[in-house]
Amino acid sequence: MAIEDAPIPLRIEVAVREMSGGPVPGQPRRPRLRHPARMVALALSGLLLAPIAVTCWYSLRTPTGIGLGNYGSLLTDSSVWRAIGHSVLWALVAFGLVLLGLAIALLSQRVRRVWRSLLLVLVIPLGMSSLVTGAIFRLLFDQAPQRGTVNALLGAIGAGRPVWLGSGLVWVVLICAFAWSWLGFVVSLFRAGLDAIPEDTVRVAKVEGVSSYHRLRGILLPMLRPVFAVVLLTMVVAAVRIFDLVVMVVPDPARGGTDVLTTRWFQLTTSSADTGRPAALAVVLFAPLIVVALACIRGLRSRSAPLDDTEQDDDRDDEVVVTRPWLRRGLWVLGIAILAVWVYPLVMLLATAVRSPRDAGVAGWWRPGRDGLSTGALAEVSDAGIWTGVLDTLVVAVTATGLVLLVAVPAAYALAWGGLPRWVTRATTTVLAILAVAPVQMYAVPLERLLAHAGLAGSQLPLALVHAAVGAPFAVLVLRWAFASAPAPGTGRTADVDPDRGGGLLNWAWGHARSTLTAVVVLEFVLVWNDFAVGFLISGPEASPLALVLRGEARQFATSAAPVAASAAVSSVVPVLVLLLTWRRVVAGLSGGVSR
Amino acid sequence: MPADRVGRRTVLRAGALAAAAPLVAACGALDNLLAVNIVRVAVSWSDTELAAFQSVLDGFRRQYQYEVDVIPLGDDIADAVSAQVNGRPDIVMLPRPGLVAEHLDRLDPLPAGLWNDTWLSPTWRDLVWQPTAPGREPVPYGLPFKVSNQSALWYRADLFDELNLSPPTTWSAWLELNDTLIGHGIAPMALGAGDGWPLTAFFANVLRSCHPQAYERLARPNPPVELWSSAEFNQALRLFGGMLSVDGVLAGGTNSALAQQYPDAIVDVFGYHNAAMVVSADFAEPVIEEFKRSPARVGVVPFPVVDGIDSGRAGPGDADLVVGATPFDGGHPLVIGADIAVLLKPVSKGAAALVQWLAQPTTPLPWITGHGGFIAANRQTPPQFYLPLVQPLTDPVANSPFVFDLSDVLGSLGGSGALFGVLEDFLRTVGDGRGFRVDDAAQTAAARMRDIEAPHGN
Repeated sequence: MAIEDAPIPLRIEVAVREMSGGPVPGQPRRPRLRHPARMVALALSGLLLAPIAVTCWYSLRTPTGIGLGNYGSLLTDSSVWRAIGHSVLWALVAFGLVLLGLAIALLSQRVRRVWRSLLLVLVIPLGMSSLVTGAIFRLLFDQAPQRGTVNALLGAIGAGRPVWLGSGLVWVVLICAFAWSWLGFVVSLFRAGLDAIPEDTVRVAKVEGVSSYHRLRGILLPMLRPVFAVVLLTMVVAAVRIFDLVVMVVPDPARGGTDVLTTRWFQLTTSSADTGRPAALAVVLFAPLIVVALACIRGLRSRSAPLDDTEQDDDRDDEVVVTRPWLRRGLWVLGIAILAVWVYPLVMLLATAVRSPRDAGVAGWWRPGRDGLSTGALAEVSDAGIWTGVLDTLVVAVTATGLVLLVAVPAAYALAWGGLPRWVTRATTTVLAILAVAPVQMYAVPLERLLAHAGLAGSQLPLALVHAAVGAPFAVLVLRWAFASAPAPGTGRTADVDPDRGGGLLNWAWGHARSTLTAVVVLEFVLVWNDFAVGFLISGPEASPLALVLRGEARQFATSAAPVAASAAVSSVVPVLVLLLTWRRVVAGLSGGVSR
Repeated sequence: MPADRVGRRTVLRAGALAAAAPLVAACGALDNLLAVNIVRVAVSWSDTELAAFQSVLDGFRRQYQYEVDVIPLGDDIADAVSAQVNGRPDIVMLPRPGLVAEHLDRLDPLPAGLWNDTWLSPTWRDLVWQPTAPGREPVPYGLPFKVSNQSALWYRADLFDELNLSPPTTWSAWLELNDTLIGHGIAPMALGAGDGWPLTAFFANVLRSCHPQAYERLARPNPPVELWSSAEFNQALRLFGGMLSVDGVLAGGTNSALAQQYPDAIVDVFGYHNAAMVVSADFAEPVIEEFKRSPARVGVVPFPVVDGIDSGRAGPGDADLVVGATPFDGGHPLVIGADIAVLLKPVSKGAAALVQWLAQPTTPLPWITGHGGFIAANRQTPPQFYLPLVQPLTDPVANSPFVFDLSDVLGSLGGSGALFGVLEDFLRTVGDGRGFRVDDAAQTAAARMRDIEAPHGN
């Protein structure tokens, strides 16, 4: 029996078991999972593990034999060191962004109602691909004050017009774009984490006169630590694996100054037939990610399992009352300012997309044009094949998501309740965590060769399979956390569902880990939809038809502003809608997995 | 009885045939449905060029039973010939002629009898005629379709009239003109170096004009490495740097010119009137037409002849660059780019038909008349269809010897990791009034090219 109305999402259950015989240790029955999907899961993880092993092997193969020669030659290459330095810089940027997100989340708790809409707006960019974000920010930072918003504003206050896309300043553009994409994720997760902290804990501390600084340090931050770990892990991994954004934003002459490990790898891979050095570079990229992932796993393992189906009750009215009116007003203003900064790029995108290509090529959206509203840009991207692109992308994303679901649910169940020996579970979890952070560079080349050899490059099913393999490890990990917190099968309220039988398992999972399941499905769908690197590097440019159209239009950026904006907008509609409609549950599913 | 049996069998067979007839017809329809008659063409074009190519293909679609799919691969076009791709294209329009020789193993020769020497300049033979096997007679592996003249200097004729100036025909006149314009407070040039090719094409024009033989020797894959340290290469660099290092010569400064893409440079000149001239290709014309702002009369002249420069300009030690000297050994340079149709193995009937059709002199007319920015590789394409404005650019391509842009024929040595990157850094070092660095920077550039081509000094 459950007490469903508790203000905090906690379910108390009375453990019932047969009152006969002697006392037995309080362990739930652990039904073994005999599901063929477990085999599929193994095969799918092989799809990543094998090419990763091959890449490691490549990295050791030199013209003179087996050895560390490739690594040695990387270490003497100054461009590699520069790329390493830039990747480290990106990791620091990610860390800074996490702190910024935490600050915003803390402030947002104080004026809850104002910030609710803000949170949704912050999330929109998360549904957009890096290529789209890159396109938006390149348009915003256009050199010509007639077209670029930033230089128009600077011009208006007489501050000159910096060359944002030149070497050096292009970092500002990249970081702004990265922050715009990810801040919503950081803030949402921290907010969920903060909301899950029992009110009484804070209230008691307050009554006892603990200052707000000490409340933060002594209570809030320690309780946020698991969320912090997960958010930091995600952000650092995203920052170090950054590739699409750089490819889209940085003009050729500024490439050297923004080279990161991933773009360096791309340059090495495409400029020669040598497989050794790029493979070694991929390993250099992978190694620190493994360390980060292991540290995170270690940090989380000590925690007890989480509770799922904890739809965060957003309507609870526990707004921290801010008594000082100036502070309250300040928070309002800050919220509205952030809202404006986050909404503006979207406004610019849509307003540019509905101008004629001629008007948008010479003048920003705020300047009157010759042709007024126009569908010219939309017509142009239709001709370039954007609608087929949308359809193809939909097929790949749905297939990949379906595959992930089919594989991850039974695999996660087996890990949570399969009665596997403890060391097996641990080892599997570790391997999965490592796979979840593996950069595409680690497996792209062997897979690309395999597909090309089989004549399957550019076709959709193998690509969907690869996407599923890429997405599955994360899905299994998150679902395992959720499943482990559910009542043991056969003891809870859904005892009638037999997870060992076909659809029964999915039913059981839906019953016990609805939010996590939603989160897994939505994130996989959005990630695959927005993917560029995996499709491009493994299956060639044709494999990501949406990116193909966008990049095609973006070859001549500023003068094609309208078609660039139109293709960016069209390719973002579906993932943004999916994410917005499900976001509350997605956050619940993700934070439910870590916040306790 | 036996006769009866035979009779029955015959009847049955006839019946079967009768039943099969519609089935055969249906198979034809099924073929169409299953896209058996599709020809897939990979191109690097996007935007309006893509639309223009589609309008060219419409003629083929009307005339033949084939459907044509165009795959716009943009800058990844080389993938189409280097990778074995499923649903792969039948034809690739290669924008870099140098790639033909590199990928012979994936290509089939053109259908026999397609090559016509009255249609195509003999210059192409070096590039696209290759032996099918070592020791065999060379056969054509690619059909030149579109040519771009990258030796054009576009200028604002209205501004020149107003200031009573005339466009330069020689390098020294050009330097003087730049000074005059700067004196009027007008930036002489936009560069659009962000795309890479405008910068290498600019330099190629200088080198071609002052040292044609050196150009010929350099413009090939893996040229002799000592050429980078030659006096000719060095001199071309110093001339190039001498002009572009002048403070205020580039609209918005060097850094801006390096971030700007080529259409932005055109908009800078003809749309925003921020500069007076831009070195670009013939295909700048439709861009100018779309974005120009009145008053805008557009003028274009061939890239000026390099004739030596003021000895004071390129810094000390330039005694060999004499004022008002006679032209160096070349005339107006003619540097071109090209899109070449190649056939991927194995050739389908449709692909053969399409490439045959693309070879005809009148095929590109819809592009020329409907969109502009196109010069046919075919010399028999009727010249009267070109806009009068661009005829000074189209005529020489049909009638004069030309060379290919360095970055197109140098292979990977022409790209951003090599020549383009080196020129860019050179410009960054000397730009915005740091002409005193030209000598050192030219040495450095030569040394870097040497290192890039032969990293271990061999």
